[in-house]
Amino acid sequence: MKKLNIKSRIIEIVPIVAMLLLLAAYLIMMGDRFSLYMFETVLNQTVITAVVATGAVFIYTTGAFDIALGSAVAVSAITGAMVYNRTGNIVLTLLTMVGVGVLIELIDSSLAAFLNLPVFVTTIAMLSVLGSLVKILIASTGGAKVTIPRDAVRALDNSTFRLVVLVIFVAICVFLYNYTALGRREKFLGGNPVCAKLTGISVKTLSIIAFVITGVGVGLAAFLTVVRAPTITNSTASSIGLDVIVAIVFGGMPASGGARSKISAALIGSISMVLLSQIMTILNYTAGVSQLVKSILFLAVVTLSGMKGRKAMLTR
Amino acid sequence: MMKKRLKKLLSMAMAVTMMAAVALTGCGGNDQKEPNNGGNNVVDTENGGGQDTPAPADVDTYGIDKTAKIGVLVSDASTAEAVGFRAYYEDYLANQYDIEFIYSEELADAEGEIGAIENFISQGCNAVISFSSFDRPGQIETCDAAQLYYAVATGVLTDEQYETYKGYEYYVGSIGPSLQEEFDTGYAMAEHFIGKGDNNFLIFGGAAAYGTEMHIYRVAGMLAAMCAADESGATTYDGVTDQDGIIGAIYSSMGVDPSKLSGDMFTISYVQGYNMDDAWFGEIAEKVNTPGVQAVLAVGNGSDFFSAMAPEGVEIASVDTFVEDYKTAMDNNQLHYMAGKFAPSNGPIVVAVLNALNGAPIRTADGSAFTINQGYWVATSADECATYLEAGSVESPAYTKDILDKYVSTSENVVSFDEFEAFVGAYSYEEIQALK
Repeated sequence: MKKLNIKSRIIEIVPIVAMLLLLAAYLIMMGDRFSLYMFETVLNQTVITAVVATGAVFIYTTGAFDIALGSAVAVSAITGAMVYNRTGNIVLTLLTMVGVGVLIELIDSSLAAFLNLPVFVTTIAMLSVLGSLVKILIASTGGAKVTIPRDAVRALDNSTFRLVVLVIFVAICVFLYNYTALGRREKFLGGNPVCAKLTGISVKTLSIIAFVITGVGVGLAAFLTVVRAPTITNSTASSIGLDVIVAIVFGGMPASGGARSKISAALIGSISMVLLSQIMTILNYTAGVSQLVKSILFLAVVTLSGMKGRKAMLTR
Repeated sequence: MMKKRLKKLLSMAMAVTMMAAVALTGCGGNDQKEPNNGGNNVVDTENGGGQDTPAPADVDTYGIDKTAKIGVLVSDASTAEAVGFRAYYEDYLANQYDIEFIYSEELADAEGEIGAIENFISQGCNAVISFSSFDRPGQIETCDAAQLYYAVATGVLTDEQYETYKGYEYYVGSIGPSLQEEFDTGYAMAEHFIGKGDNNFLIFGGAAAYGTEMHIYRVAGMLAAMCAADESGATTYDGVTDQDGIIGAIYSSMGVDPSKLSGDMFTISYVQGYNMDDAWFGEIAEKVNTPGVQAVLAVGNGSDFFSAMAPEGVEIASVDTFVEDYKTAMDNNQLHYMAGKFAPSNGPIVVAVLNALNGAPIRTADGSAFTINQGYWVATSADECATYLEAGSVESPAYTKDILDKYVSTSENVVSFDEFEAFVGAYSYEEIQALK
């Protein structure tokens, strides 16, 4: 048992060690060129993925996943931008984005819950629906992009604002996840859904709550996306869905969810992914090579993290 | 239990404190950054801009004895134009000067542009030249914040953008067709075919749907030429005939609605977008094969209509860059009018960037970044097309190193805005040949 605990601990710290190794490699490669600006760059590239991933941890903990998060961010961003262009109110824009994000995830989870469909089926359907919605919404403006004036978001386009949003959202998620019954039930559900059901836990309710929290993250990410680049096109946020999956798993989250799930996986994974991308960039590798390396690492991490889980998992 | 909770709370508080500390540190970042030219002020341009102040002997010059790393933002990496531009940079200029060009991936949105600039910074770039225009203000502000010189090639900022950013220290300037030049180019193209008696056109609006000004202005020029050709005044677009009115009408719908062209003198159909997928090629093939179409007026990428199997007799006109495909099409009697850029036209902006990196930025009399008009070469015959193609080649480019060298500032000779503007502004084939 003691041997197993040591092995578990090693597996747990691997993502942190990997992140630190990537950080060390990045700093060595940057050498004299490293500056606070470079630090901000890493931060800026991390925050949007980290916010979505932090919310998505609630979904992944239950053993489900959502591949339509990128499209959800895009739809929220476009809707919010359209509201801004009509009202000129940035607070209303933020609220709209969060509201649309929550609504999308609510529809997603409700479809699964009330039609008794596997969540991955509804998210695949939503991926297609939201992708089309992005095109329809943009086309409805008469062009191929939706833009809000840069002046409207210039004051918020800084690392401090991004970090504040991330810290507040992560703090709320950590509280809900680690200090309320919600997190424990989510883990229980992910670890053993049959047993969780038998103890009276409402799978549907928990699933919907998980998606709603993710929806808040989606809305915040949409706002941060618009603050960073206030011009939205068909391809905006298109890579977020995959980035989130890779980041969460790379951060040490079991692909099957359950008791070993943790919020920190979202942060560690997002930072690691950005550092890896930066290293590949410094080495002059193209985005295609970078994506290939991420995919290989993703497979390796899923395989390694599943080794212990497969042995320890209860029979379902 | 209590102890465990306390431990968790403490951990969380520490994490929050650390992140907040990082944020506060980040606030002061801008004040502490070193310029990306490493403070390499070779030439003193104060006191009127362009005084001959000897450079310190131990300071290297970018492009001459110190590698200038220039990031190039591209939203299009595969078209003939993009390939031609890249060949001139990588196969000619990089061999003549100590310059390393680092290209971005093919960019698809504004966020991608900002991410690419951040990557350039990680790669140690000293400057950025942009061929991508999803969000030019975002590009300029990102570069300025990083103290990275930024220049626009083959395009210009809108008047409003120029007024906003002309005073930015790290905004070098832009060289390319002015928006009036774009309007005139579209106008001349349509006028050419109207003069031949054509009255049924397929207009390809390209990125007008994306709000790309140069494409909107070219399309507006085409429509204005049709309105002007109808002496009865019956031909209008959305009820207007003047330049500003037509441009406004296109902006309001981000495209052209053929039904808004009144009168019975002209018939137009319209296609736009740069999706380049099967559906898009299917759409342009269908429209170009519509009975009655006499000419395709393309704001760019006219070569796509060659592969779309334009039927015999349909004449194609395009704004693009002189490359082999267009010469072949002109030889084959498919292409009849070409308003083209030539790859070496992107040479002078590199010179301007080198001057900025070497501490001698070219600024206007009031100290602003420059915006210089550089128009197109127009070919209506295979011979003209062949001549212009030759001048755009890497083997014998229009702008050779010898020509460009005259405008690279040194400690003995600081190039002024007037000199540079006269050089770039004399862009006709004959004028450039005279420089050799």
